[in-house]
Amino acid sequence: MPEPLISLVGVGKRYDGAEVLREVSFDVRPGEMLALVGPSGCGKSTLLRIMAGLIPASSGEVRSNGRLLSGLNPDTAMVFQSFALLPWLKAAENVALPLEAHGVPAPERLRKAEHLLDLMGLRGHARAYPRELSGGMRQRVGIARALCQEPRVLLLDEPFSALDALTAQTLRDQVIDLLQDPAVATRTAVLVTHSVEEAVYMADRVVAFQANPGRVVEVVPIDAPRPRRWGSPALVPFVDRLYGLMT
Amino acid sequence: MALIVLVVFLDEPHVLPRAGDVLNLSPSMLPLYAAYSLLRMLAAYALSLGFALGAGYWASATPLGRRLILPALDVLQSVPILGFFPAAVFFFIRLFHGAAIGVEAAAVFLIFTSQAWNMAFSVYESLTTIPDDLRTAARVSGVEGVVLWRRLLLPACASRLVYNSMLSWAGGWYFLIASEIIAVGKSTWMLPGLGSYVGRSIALGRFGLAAAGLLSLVGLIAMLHVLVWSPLEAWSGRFRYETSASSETTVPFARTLLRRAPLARRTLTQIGRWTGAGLARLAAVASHVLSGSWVLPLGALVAAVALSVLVYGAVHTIEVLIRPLPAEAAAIPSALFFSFLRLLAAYAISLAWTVPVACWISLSVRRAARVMPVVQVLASVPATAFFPILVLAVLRLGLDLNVSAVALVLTGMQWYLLFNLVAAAQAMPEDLRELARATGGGGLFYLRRFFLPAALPSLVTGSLTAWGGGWNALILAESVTAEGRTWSVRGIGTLLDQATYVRGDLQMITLVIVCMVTAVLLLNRTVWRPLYAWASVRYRLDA
Repeated sequence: MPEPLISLVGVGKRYDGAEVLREVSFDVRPGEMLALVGPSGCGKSTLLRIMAGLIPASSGEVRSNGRLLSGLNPDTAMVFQSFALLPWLKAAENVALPLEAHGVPAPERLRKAEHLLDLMGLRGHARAYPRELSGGMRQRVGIARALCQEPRVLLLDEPFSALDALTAQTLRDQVIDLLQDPAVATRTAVLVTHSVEEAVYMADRVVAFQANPGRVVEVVPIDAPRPRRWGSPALVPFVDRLYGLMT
Repeated sequence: MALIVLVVFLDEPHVLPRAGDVLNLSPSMLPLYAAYSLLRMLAAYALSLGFALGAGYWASATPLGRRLILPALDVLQSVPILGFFPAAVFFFIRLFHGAAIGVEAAAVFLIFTSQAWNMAFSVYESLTTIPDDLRTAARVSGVEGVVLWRRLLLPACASRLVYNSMLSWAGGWYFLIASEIIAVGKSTWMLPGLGSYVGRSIALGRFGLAAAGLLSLVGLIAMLHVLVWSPLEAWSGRFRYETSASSETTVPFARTLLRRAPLARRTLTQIGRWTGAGLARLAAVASHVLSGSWVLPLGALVAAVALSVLVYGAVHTIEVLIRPLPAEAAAIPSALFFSFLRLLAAYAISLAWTVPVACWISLSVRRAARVMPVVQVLASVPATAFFPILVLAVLRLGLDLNVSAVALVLTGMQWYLLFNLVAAAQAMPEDLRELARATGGGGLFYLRRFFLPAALPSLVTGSLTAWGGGWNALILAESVTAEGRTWSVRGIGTLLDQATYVRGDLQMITLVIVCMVTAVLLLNRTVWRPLYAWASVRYRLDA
């Protein structure tokens, strides 16, 4: 078995004495789509931020690429439910933000940003401001910004929850395709979602959480063949199983 | 603050003698005087901007900063600044060993104190309301330092900061003119500028010249509004968070001009870019320096020195206060009372016209868009410039001087009320407006059941700031120099004026300022704060 990209061993998190996460352990394996599913308040978004190195764990061990994580995790990039685009920057400038932060000169970083926007199907929108784009287009910009960092692991925090059903479905397929695309370096993703159906549709493995305090109930491999179809009978047993685990 | 305390108290009290005739009143000097006035404004504004960004950032970034800055701003905002002008003049003249630049520094300082606080608040508010996700996104993208300031922090401040800069700039004119007039009327030093030009012309009875000066002043202010502030305000609209496509209501005149002049536009864009980049670099360096480990001991040292000076000042203040009271001190309570009555009268007049106007505006969104630009220009014309004329008119008509005093205080109060009420009118939800229309009922019914409840929190906020402006105006309003003599009515402003310029009585100055500040703070704590707490809970629109 190849070395895990991120590994969590007995991770716990407390805020002012309140226990948010208890004894969480699992690995993120190279090339997989790992989904974290659970009721709201089970700490799955907190866990994603621990993996990104945004907040430290209170106990346990987080390793990225075998090294103990301290500070920001340079191997990850994040996609947000709210898109988190800077409203005063054009699409391409938003995408190029990580490159600007690392001092890449303007022509070079904008060229790369436009390339990524093309890849996301946003050719011709590079100079549009976020407010001029639809929700689905904004999230594509958000994903392009994350890919711009060429992360080994893409962290997706409820990325489809703020979109209408049809747009969300298109974008799910696009993310699955992107992770296979030779033009993109990233192969691995961690998806946080409260939708069991979404997790089963997209993921190779699903980590099921319970709340109060947030803890892992079970890690369920979804060994249904791809490409999958939303609501297909082959996925139903996994969905039923996960609902059973979490309630 | 601490330094002022130190110098004022270490110094022997002295009288600032009245002015000799040194101003060249030829109209050809007007452009030069306009430039002087503008330079003072620019210097003060640059200081205010630096202070606002520094203090606002510090308060937003550290608990210590928040605990120190916010209460300080709160008090400074409601204290009648003009009362400290004599102290500031004393201080800066001593600092510069009697050179004329001391008065310049005092004027700039005075304008600064009228501009900085609300700007600092706006920076603090902008920085603390940046959505969490945006901050996180910046962090995971590795954004920090200069890029962080340029791409997130400064843009996040832009909209509120520009709006507050406009208000501050307008307020600044008020104080600039006030300081020029005070200086020309009462001390041996003078501040060449449009305010002193007008003041001097009127003092000499040369009304044609005064009119020319006033016209230049109004022209300068209107020009700056059209060419600088209104385009800046339109531009800053893009730095708001609403990501929905919004239709622009008004295109500023300057933009239409620029559309026809591509070269000028490109130059301006480039200047804007450099300014943004420069500010970002400065801010980043400053915040980096401030986060260094050596800052803490140094800060502690500075704080200790400032504290000991403040304590020294406080001890001296108390020492001054417990000296056997001078006979004039007995006049303070009644003077305070008469001044309070004047404020009350001016407040009643302000309410009487601003509430109906704002109510009328609230009936239609388009009305506000049409009326407000005019009101903005009107409000930014400093009423202080018209003080001497008003006083003369009152004297000529043989009216009581209380009439002019109340009218002058009114000019310091009314705009704050109007702006806050109109903001509330614009924020009124469309469905409430439709409901009002569907319900029928007359204007009074609408006023009582719809507009007043919806506007009440803003009315209280507006009243608080209006009273602040009123106390300030009082200092100028009660004692005015015109036609070679000083006209005054009984009140706290007159007492301060006499103590400073007639007798140079440090004890009386201290007594009067302490009494006035106490009265203001007492009024805020016992009337406005509780009222605001009540109104904002009871009449919230989004509950």
